[in-house]
Amino acid sequence: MKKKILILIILLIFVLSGLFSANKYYNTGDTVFSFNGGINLPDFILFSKSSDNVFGFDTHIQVGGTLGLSYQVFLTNSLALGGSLSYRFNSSISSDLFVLVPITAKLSYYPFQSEKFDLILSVDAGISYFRYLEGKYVSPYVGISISPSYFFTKSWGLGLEAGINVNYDIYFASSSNNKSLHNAFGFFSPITLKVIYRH
Amino acid sequence: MNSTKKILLAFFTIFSLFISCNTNAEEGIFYQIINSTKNTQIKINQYLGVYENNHYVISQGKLYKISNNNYFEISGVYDDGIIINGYLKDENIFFICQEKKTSLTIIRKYNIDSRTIDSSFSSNGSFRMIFENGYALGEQGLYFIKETEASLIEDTPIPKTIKKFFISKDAIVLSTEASVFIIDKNGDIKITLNKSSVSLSGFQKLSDNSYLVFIDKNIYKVDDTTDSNNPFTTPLVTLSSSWDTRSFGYNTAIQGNKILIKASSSFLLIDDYNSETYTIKSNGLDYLNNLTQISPIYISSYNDKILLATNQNGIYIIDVNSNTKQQIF
Repeated sequence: MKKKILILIILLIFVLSGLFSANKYYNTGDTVFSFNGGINLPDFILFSKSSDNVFGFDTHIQVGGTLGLSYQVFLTNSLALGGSLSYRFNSSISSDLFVLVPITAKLSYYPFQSEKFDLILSVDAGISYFRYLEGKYVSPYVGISISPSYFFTKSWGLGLEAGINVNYDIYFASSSNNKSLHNAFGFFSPITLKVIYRH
Repeated sequence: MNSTKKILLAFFTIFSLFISCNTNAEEGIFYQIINSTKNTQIKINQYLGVYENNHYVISQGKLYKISNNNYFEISGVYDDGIIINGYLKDENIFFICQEKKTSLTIIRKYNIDSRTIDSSFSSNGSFRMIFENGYALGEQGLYFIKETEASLIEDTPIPKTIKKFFISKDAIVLSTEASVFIIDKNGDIKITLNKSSVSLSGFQKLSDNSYLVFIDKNIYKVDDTTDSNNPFTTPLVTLSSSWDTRSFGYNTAIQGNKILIKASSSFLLIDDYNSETYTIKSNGLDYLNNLTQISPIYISSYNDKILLATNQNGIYIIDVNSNTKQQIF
């Protein structure tokens, strides 16, 4: 069942991209700058060496916030490459702050693009710095997102962006501690409103 | 610098950053987060017990009811003084309160159903502590709390100079200069052990005639067949020196055939106290680690599980069979 749904989604993306490919609004070299802000939802934390996996608010992470910016340049009239920087914060149930700062390369695909509307599918890959209590970590980071956008002038627009990302908390086995038993993947879903400037 | 060197330099910079971080924390970051506990708004100085699904606690000299994860101050209980400690029996809370004007420490009885102080209850003298099995330690010695009064236990051979004591809901152990006494909930002395200058550090009732008595870091099984003049010879278990009692002693609670022991900075588990060979383990109790830093801590058997009340991090139901904890406040 899950496979069928996945195949349908992939087919839908291909069909839509085929339909819309005739009308290309962007040209190679065009640039897009966006500033976004919204909420950061905890999804789940998966432990690689135990079954203590937790979901949603059982992660003991509360709904937090996110602020970010990104800059991209069109490599073709459908693909844009650039970078993004975000600052995300959530509170644990003990009211201690969990901070996540992803710095990523961002590749976006525009299956639908026009003077008024864009639909953007993006992949982010990079590193994220995160901090909780006295612990600090720099981790590999991967995220995907979807973003419909509306342009009320030729250059300025508003968009919604929702996605899911994963942060790895990985430790090597050591005789001095058992942190390697705590290796975990933390999944989060930022949902943001963004202001877009294109040129 | 050619592009290959630049890429390698960037890679090693990121990699060195990656492996150098979080060296100062002893636990993984996500692990710490999922084990974080809710800070309660009130500090629990003493957990009293549960009545009709509501938990009762003493916090900073006041009495509180905890219901559905919320807390409510029970007002009008003792407005001109502070509550020192208490115990809950059925629908009544007996507590010691210190009057601000006179500094006297007297016992009061509060009825939960009628929400009133029972004026017919009287206690003479000044009291230091009231126990959860219905005893109170006063200036004259040990008192037994009845429905209408706290009466001095005068016809027992217990000296008034009690050195140290541990209590549970249905028994009490106390040491004097010369002996150790185990008293049941009816006030009867079940066992007298003649041993001078023992360092009593814990107590757990196993059955009507069988008890575990902690002397320093040794755990002894005591029953009515124990030689009263030579009671503490061979310990069942000697705890590791790293499991320090400090001045608090060990708190214990039974779940099935397991006994959870709280040492000063860790928890220990006796796996099967009915077996001939006791085993004590500390591994597999990681899920309790973040609760050991807070003292005082109260643990007790509760609905076939274990209830654990902390000073600042709320109240938990512990299941040592499934290694889980559920925060109820």
